[in-house]
Amino acid sequence: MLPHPEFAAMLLADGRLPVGGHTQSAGLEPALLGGLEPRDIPDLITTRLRTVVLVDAGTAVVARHRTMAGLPLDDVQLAWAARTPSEVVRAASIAVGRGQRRLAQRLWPGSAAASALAPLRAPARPVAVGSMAAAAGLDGARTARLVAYDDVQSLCAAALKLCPLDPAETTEWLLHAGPGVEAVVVAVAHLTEPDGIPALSAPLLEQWQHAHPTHPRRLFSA
Amino acid sequence: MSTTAVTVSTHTEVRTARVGLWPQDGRCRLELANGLVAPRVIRHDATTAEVSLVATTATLLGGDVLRLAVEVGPGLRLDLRDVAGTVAYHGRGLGCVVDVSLRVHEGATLTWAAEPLVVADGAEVTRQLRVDVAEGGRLLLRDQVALGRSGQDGGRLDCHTTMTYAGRPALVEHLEVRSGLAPGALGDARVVDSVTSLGWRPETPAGHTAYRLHEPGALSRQLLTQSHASTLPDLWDDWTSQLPPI
Repeated sequence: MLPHPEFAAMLLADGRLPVGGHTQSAGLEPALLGGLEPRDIPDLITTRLRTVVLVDAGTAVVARHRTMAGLPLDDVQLAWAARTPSEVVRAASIAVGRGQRRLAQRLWPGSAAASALAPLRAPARPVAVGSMAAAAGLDGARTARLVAYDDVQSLCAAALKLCPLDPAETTEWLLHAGPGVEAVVVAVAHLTEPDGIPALSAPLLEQWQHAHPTHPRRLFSA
Repeated sequence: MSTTAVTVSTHTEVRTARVGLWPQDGRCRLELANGLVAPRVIRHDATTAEVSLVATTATLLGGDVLRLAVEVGPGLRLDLRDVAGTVAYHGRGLGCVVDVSLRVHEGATLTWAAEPLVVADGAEVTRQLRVDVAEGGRLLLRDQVALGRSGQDGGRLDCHTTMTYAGRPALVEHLEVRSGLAPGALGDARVVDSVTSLGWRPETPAGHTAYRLHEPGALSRQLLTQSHASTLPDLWDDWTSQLPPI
């Protein structure tokens, strides 16, 4: 039986979900090591929501649709990879995607998601999240909101470990990101085809993330 | 219709500039056509050709559509170069379009050391770049875009790039280039300089960084405040020297 969609959305958005989300700073640690001023962090959230988060949320929505339709996910994975040129950024996403797949297979064995994800060699995080969203009964809009919320929340949680901040301040950032998150939902919730996934890039974010493994002292893997 | 939308005149006659290189009777044949740029043959032998592109008008003005289609037939090599950069001038409310299609057939090679596309104040440019490289084909492309002539903030440029290798998506990007984007997009860069290889993955020399695409290919990109600070000409020379002979 499917959980209530709101319960399912809360479950999947929970930072305590055992998929290794605590290793991710949503690009914040690479950005700070690359020279981003801490006062610009809220603007960084804006940039992410307009670019890489659109790509990931669109990927997840299409993966969800494909899973529901019983179609393979290979071309969704390819579309995501073509929009993610850095092998470092892809590897960080895949590390979490594998954890997400393990969890999907454990929670919803025998589901369309479990069988759609099984043949992928290295599922990207949004591909696995989107497929899992299908198993959990989320619609396209909830799937997009989940991906966007998770990105902002990961960044906010990481900010507390990286900068001296009042936790209420980062919670305020998250709340204020609400309209930006909803803009992502509106832009991608209806997508069904890999070619339609947005491809907006943030070249500087990409450079920072690509250089991240070369920094000697890191708290996060990405 | 929104009054603020930038419109592209539909009355402009659009001629597609073409450069095609095709095998014929053990040699190769060049197929050339003029548009807003005109191809000029520099060198042409049995399996390779070198062609430069010359602007035929004061490109690019509002309403202009610059179309270019390049195709390299199986097993041949085309080296394309620009004689000069392209400036997109103030469009007086009209946008302009640069629409480029590159097709590289099996076993063929295309190199194009493109000169900068400079987006002046008031210019609104949409660039479509479509690249299809067949299995065993090789592309090497330099692509520079710059905001503003000297002393300007520059206009707006949207680069839509779709590259496929053997029919699979290899690099898909919508790159926004304009002043005032939030942190993490371009920083204080005015110039985005890129070299892309597709169909092959050259060794990256020391001192340079390149992304390894998931399909055979690599992308090296620099974000710069001054185009002359780019070190990609060195990378271009290095990667060109790694291209296997036809």
